[in-house]
Amino acid sequence: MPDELPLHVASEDAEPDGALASRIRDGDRRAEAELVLRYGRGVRMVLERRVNDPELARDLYQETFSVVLQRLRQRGLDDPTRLTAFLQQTAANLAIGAFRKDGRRRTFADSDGIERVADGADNPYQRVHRDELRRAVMRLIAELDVSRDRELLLRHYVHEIDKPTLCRDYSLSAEHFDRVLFRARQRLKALLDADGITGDVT
Amino acid sequence: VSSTAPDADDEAMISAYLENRLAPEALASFECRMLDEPLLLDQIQLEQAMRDGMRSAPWTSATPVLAQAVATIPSPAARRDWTWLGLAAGFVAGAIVPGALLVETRGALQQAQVDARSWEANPARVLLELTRGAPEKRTWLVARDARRLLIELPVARALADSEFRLGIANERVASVPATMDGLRPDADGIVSVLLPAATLPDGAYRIVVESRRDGAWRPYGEFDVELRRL
Repeated sequence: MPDELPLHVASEDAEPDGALASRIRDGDRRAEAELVLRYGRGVRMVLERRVNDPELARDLYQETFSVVLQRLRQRGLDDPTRLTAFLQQTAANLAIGAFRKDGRRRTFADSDGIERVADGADNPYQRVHRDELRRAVMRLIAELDVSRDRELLLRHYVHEIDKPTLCRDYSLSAEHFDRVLFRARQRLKALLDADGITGDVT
Repeated sequence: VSSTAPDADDEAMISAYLENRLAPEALASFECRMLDEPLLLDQIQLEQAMRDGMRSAPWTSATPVLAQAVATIPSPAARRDWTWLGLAAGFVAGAIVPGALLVETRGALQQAQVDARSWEANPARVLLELTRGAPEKRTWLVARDARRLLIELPVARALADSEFRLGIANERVASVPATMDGLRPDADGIVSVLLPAATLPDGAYRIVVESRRDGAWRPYGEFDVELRRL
């Protein structure tokens, strides 16, 4: 499956939602694939967080795009610029509905576009094996030059001490605290990328 | 690599989202932004990866540094109903990640659960029973993704007004027990200790409980526990 596909389309280069919706209504199958490519990763995240069950999320992911594509093909949206809101609402409703139904969801995989890009739309970090992620995080911590940053990250993530307390303990501004976390995240991404674990996600 | 840092509001929203603290309308709005803003989605997924990775790593090598940092934690008065105990540097060599173990009584816990800002409502609960017939070796089975561990210790009615302290040491690693004192039973006679689950990796632990009577600490009970994740 297409791991080499970019995981999203940079927004500045993307076709406006309204135009994409119109192309789908006109029967452009390529536009359907573009829709899944553009929003698949986000929809997967929405569903995984809401149902906390990867398998169920995978089923609902297929169903979300099935519902959205059928609607776009048949009669479009009243306001095509609200495509993301429609996608989000569809995913949320299906997640809520999943809790109300007995048994597992049926999968509606009727779109070539969904099939082609489904795996590429996964959360790249959730594909990382737990041990690999753990090793990358330990490397990240070990290579930090500033011991204060090391302590800060451990206390924040492992002991879950809240931000105001840590800012007070280390005499940091909130902005400085956020920068430490942001740098750590970027470094983790670089480490995972360097190991060829995630591929390019931007 | 995304080089644009989220602003402070977005950082707060990312944390709230990953901790399930957003109200329904705010959640829907934030999910729409996730769909529209790939760079925001990147940061959310990286933050989740950081959390997962950090909480699953054994932090043996970081122990002295962390313990030293914990000593700077301010007094309990600044922390609403919670009592944070800074654990002395070096009290555990590798088994327990020393840090801010959170200790309080169950009444305060129920109150705190209303405020989902800090703690999810369902920590993994484990019991220390000091009864005749209780197994010599207890096994605590805890969900692998549990973030909190709530240790509950029912105490004798006669000691309802006593102070307790609890020491935990990993039996397979030479260590000095992590000691939590200032524990008092709630109205139901239960002493509760709530701590981040990451501070207790899988392993065998010896837990020693003492009560203060007539101004002196006296043995109350000793427990051997095997902690396992499922």
